[in-house]
Amino acid sequence: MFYELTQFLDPMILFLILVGTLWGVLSGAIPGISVSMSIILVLPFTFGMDAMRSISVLMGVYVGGMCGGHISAILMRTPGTPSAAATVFDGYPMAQQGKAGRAIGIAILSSVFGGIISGIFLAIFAPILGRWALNFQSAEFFALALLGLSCTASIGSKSWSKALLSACLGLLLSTVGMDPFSGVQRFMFGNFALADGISFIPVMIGVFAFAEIYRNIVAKADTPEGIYRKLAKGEERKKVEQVKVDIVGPRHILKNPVVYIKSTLIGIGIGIIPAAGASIASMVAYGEAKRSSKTPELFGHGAEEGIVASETSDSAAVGATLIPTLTLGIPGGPVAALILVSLTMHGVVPGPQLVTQRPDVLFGILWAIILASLSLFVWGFIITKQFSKLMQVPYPILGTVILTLGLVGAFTLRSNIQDLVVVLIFSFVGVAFERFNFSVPAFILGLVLGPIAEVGFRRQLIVTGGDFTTFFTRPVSLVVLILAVVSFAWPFIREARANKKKLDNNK
Amino acid sequence: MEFLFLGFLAIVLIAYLGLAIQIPHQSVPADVIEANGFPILISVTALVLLAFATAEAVKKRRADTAAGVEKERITLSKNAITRLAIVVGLIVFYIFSLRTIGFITAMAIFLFGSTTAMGSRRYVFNLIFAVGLTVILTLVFGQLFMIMIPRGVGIFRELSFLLH
Repeated sequence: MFYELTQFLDPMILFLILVGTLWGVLSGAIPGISVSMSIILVLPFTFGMDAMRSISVLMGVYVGGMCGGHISAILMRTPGTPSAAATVFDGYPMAQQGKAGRAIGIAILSSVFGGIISGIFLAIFAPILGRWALNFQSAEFFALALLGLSCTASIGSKSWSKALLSACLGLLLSTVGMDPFSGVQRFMFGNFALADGISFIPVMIGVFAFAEIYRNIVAKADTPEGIYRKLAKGEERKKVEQVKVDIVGPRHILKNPVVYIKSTLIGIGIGIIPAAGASIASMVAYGEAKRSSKTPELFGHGAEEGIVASETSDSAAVGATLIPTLTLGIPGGPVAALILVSLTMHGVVPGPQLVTQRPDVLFGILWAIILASLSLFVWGFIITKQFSKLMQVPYPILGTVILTLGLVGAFTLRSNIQDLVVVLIFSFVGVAFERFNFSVPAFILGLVLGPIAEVGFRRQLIVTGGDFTTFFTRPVSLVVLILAVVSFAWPFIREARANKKKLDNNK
Repeated sequence: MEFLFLGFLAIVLIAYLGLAIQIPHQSVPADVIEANGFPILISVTALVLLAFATAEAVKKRRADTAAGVEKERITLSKNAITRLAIVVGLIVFYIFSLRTIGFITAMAIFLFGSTTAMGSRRYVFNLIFAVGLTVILTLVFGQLFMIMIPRGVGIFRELSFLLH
């Protein structure tokens, strides 16, 4: 574990972590650039690096992106990332009371605390889970993939049928290519570039980055210099320029240990659950902090505990989300899927073997999270100071840079022009999904989990001579399948309960 | 529009199901599912879900009509449509001209065109930005990361050697 730390003291790796975190905080602070998009945009720069350097950059972006969202949430009442939505509730009122600097200082400290604890949690529990998972057979992997898919009913769309349909469309897309068992061509139409299937990254670039740019072009068509410039003018801009970030030290943690620890645990607990993620974690932690606070009436009017809860939990979800991704090869969401794909491209195969064969990667991620979290102190202050200038970047430049990095990233992946066509096609899919309330995250999970589910299911049947009961006779597989059924049914149960409550209230 | 999209999905799913059924049988011993099993299962499930989604949409439309809620209309200005069409056109141009005119020229044209199409009227700045970013990207990917970026053919190929 400490050997990996010596590797991370390499100036180049430290530099990459700093740059990655800077990009993460920057993009997190700009509304409209999600963490997934900011990771997608740096991916092409990591292709030429070795695994450790690539991890350094990606972890920096991930940690920075989760933290950066609070800056615009506090200063502009616009969360830079969805997980910073709960920060608005108390961050913006604090800013209006002239305490924006303190709010940002608290948010930075909370992000650092949550990030470091989740990194340590990852380092402790990933090897335990990984060693346990070494006994897993295909049945367990199929069940885990199903668990991941079962959670899609409740993500990214108001309609469960559309969310599940989105996941199914992702699954359909995952079947394109050569069949892994018989070598039969499926939906390739004689195009051998599709033999390995459709690459995840061009699809993600299309549905996340390009679709978002199209939407912004349409939305900002009559404000050519972009909404950000407009927001950074007048009184708003003056206020933002005058903000001086307070340095909030560890004493704040000692003063409020319960809310820090509880929110971290909530972030970790929810972060592990597939498809749940940081946005849900921050809302739950905020709700819990309010419920257990001695002064709940202050929440929504500038309560420091509210900012702590939101920021600690969303940063704590970072390490936790990676546990199933690294040890089981099952990503819990689009960001984890991107990291999984990126590791695979560097010859690192996430799964139970990772713990025994590549512990350097696991501990490398731990150190990258810790170092990136610590660097948030530096970048948080600098970006806040430059925030009003950042908001003046005209959208034509920002949008064009995003499109360009997307095009370059998709091409450099395999030097294949067909990947660019995939980006183009899926950019329209992303727009249609958004327009008609389909779920892009569910679609991506379907695409990534599809091969794991199919291979797991068929391999188990081949091994057992076609015995379907094997999925129910293996204890772990059975437990995970039950969990999958429960998680699938949970949104419906919740809805039925809410309807019943409504009816009772009406009576 | 939503019903059109749902109808389009129905056509895609039915076509996919038809193709899945036609996948040749090359059975591996004990592989009872075979290569077409998973695609058939998924497409049937997707069709059922599509039926649910359509029923939900119809129900919502009826409820909206009963409540007197007006149909949601997409109001895109001519300006917005033009800008979007130009940017998409530039992406298509970039993709299909990359092999012929090379990365450097295609990227510079794309960058200049995209910034201008999105509304930046500072043409000299746009040009400097386009050339500058193209040079940076070429050097980073072509020289530093040693990625084979297309040089184009003929004169474009010769010119590309001036940079990398």
